[in-house]
Amino acid sequence: MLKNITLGQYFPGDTVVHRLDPRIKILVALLFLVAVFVVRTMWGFLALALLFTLIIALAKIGPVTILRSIRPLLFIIIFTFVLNILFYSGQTIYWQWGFLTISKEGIEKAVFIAIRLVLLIVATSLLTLTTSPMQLTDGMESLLSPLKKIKFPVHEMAMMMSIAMRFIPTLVEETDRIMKAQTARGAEFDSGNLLKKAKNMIPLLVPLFVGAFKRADELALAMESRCYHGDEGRTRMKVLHLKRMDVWALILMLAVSILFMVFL
Amino acid sequence: MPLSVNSLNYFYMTGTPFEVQALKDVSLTITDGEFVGIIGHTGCGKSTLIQLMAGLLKPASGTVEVEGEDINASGYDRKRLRRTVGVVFQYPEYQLFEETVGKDVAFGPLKAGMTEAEAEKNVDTALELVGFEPAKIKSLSPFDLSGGQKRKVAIAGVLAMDPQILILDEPIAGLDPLGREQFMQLVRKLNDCGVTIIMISHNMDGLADYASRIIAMDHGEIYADGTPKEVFADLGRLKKVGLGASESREAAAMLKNCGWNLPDDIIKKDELVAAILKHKEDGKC
Repeated sequence: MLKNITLGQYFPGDTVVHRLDPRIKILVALLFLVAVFVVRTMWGFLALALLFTLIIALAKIGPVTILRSIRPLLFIIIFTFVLNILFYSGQTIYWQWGFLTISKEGIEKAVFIAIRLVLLIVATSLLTLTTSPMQLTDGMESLLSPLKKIKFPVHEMAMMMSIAMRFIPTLVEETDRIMKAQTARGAEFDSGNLLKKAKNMIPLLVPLFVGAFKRADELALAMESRCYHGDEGRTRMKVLHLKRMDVWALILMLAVSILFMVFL
Repeated sequence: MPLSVNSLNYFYMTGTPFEVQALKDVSLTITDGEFVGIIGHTGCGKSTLIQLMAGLLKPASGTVEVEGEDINASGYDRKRLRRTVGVVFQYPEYQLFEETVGKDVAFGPLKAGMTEAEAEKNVDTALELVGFEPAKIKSLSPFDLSGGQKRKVAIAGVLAMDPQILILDEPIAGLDPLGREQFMQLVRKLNDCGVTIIMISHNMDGLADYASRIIAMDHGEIYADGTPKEVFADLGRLKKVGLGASESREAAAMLKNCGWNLPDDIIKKDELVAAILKHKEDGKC
């Protein structure tokens, strides 16, 4: 039941997009986010949508997967869409009731914001679908490393992130296991009212927390016994190297995005 | 209470690039009072099979029948299933959660609909079965016990539901030799009382000594099914899928390779010793 949660929704593959340096991908994703906000016309959105579609095709991600990544935020999209239509007061009014108005400008604005949201989600999904969580944290750490100069604990943050991500599947598995064990003893997790449901969670939560603390303890011990002492002098197994391909990808995307932002 | 599964299929991660078929068209029937050992290397589908048997997973296709009733049919009484089929998972000590041992062991029986008095009685019996003095241990916190004791308490929690079919997933992993022996004795005692035992184990010696039937699995399919003597007889075939037999069987095979005239149905230590002594008497060594 819980096995279907894919964390960070990484979709393994061996395409040009997958092979790009994570730092480049993070930068390009940021660039796309800026572009989505700066672009003001329908043509601009269309151009961005085309660009994203091209990258999706390059990364060999199925359209279903992309749509699935939009689904969790569908409610917010629809909610803002409806709010914008009803509360934006424009010039050309079609319908009015009390403080609720439907106007031409309101509809336009609502459509724009909905498209923006969808494009935002697609742009970030492009990053998370083609980059493994570990690569992502490595990329982040590398990009944020200038902050070390002002004593910001970049490495520690990245390590915490990797550990958290590393243990999410373990916790999910553990949850699944304990749920099954307690179900076999007659526990029910999805019946009754809210209070009863909360109470039913106790047989699951207590062992889960006990296990998590124990595991944290063991991990700390294992790390210390291997002489982990933070960032200083630490080398990496996978060193990030910018390849020519990465530089070209960045330049190309930069050029295209600036073009869109200026003209559309 | 016969348990049968018919053409079971099961998949993990359906609809993703990681999709794997964990079970392929598995059918088998387990009759009352059997002691079935399930063997197979990691990932062969044995855990999936027992979880389907216990109704903890829903098959992609096929049926699981307990007493001739499909347990996945709508309207089937799940509470009764939980009482009939008990499951002890790997490292069951991690399922303890109550403040006291007594409360924890009583959790299952109370959920199954027993009255307080019935549950209390079952708790005492179960704790005694696993080797505790109920009066002494019931008020302790399960988190203050040692690892081995925790496991016994967790097992008592399943036994207190008085299951007719007991499913065990590698229950002796991580126990010391004495603990293992005691545990196998306990399982045999339950089996002698008429409880059907289905046990996943990598301990071939234990299975050779206690099981009445062994099912070997490979890649989601049943690879061999028969009495321990039958299954362990063809060593070469077992080795092909990364399995082995009991140590006595392996030792007998090695001696046979050295020219000793030993039969292929030696699987227990005493059988091996008897055969070697007989060989000696015959004056052949």
